[in-house]
Amino acid sequence: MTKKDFLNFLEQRLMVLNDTERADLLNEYEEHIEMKMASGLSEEEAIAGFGDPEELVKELLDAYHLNTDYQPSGSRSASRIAWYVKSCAHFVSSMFDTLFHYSIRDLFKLFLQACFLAAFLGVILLGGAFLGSLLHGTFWHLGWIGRLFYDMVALFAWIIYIALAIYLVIFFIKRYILIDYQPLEPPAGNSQPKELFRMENLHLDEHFDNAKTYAGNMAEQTGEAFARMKQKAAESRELRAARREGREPVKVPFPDISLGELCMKIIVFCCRFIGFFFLLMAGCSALSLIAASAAGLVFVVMGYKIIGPFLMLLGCALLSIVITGLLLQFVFGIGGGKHETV
Amino acid sequence: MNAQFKKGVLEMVVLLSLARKDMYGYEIVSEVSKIIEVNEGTIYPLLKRLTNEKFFETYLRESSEGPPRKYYHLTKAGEMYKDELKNEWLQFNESVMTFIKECDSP
Repeated sequence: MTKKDFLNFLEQRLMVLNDTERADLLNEYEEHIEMKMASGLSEEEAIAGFGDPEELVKELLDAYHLNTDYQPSGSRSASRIAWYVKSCAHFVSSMFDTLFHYSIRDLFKLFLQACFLAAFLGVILLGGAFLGSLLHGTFWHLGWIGRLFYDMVALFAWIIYIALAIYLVIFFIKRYILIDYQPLEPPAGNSQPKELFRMENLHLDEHFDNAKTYAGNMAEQTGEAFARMKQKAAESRELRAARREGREPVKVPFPDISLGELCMKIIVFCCRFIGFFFLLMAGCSALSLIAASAAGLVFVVMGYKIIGPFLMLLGCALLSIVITGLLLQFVFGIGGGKHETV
Repeated sequence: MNAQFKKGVLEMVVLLSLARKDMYGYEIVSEVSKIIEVNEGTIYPLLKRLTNEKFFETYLRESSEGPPRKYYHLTKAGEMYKDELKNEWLQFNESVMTFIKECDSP
């Protein structure tokens, strides 16, 4: 340890003392070291004579009847603030450092990737907004419960979206801009300040790789499943055709699912999923309207003069039956004759 | 040499040294080191503590070899404390010596 390091260390740890006392002490130690060196020892040897600096500090503070673990919050937060500011500066400067070392081509690639990220986030946002506006009308007419439900779901969706956006942006920055980033050493002290830029702890790389693998596997499996289903459908069709024409069924090859096709199927599936909920609602209203019309019919037969309202009920019931039927067809593909079903 | 022994008498030795003449930090360390081997670093905390307890007074004196040095001087209270310690030590020493003699010759 050099004399400067030793004295700096002492100064830091003795912050609790008033300035004169501290300066006094540091002076004495400096003098002592000087004299030892004058008598022939090296700087290292002179300081080694003091033993463990931590122990020394403890005994020094003990002389003032102070808690040796004490660091006044003022100086502690001051050093912490200083560390934060330094960390920010270090972060920004290392970012710029890395960027400057990029070639023009790499910078352009980086820019493209940033655009992709922005586009991706934008698409999700638009999709969410669209979905939100679709559902908005429906739920708001269901009274205060519907409104509450809608608001809660919207809030939840927003939180997830923002978290996802932040996560991706951080990952992006870490991956492409902070390749050689080494965070600053936090100041020595009893309470470690929260390390703002300790990205290593987030294990982002691990998570993202896991997610990618998982998504990849999922996509693969989904693709395979679709392909198999398509093959089965084709096989059964072939079987029926063969029976009709009185021939042997031809072996159907395992179909190739293109990415576009897969995407389409996924989108259709999602739409059907949403449609399912509408189907439920429509079905419920249909049932209740049918029941109401039946009751109305009974009353009409019993002589009540409610022909008008009854006819209206009947009309609504029929309409809801039709809507339910349409939705059924859309969601489950039942009764669709001409369209290819999955 | 047992650290506890050294720790026990260090204060007394420092006080006795200063009773003879005023000295500055480095000088005190050298003097005490002649009598008992001790970590120099711990002398200064001790000096600080005894100064805080008003047993020492400090003043600056010009030195020929550089900046003015801080000299330690034993106060009246320090002298009284020194005598107290010396008596306690002599008593203590006597009891222990007697006991050792008893143990050695049953």
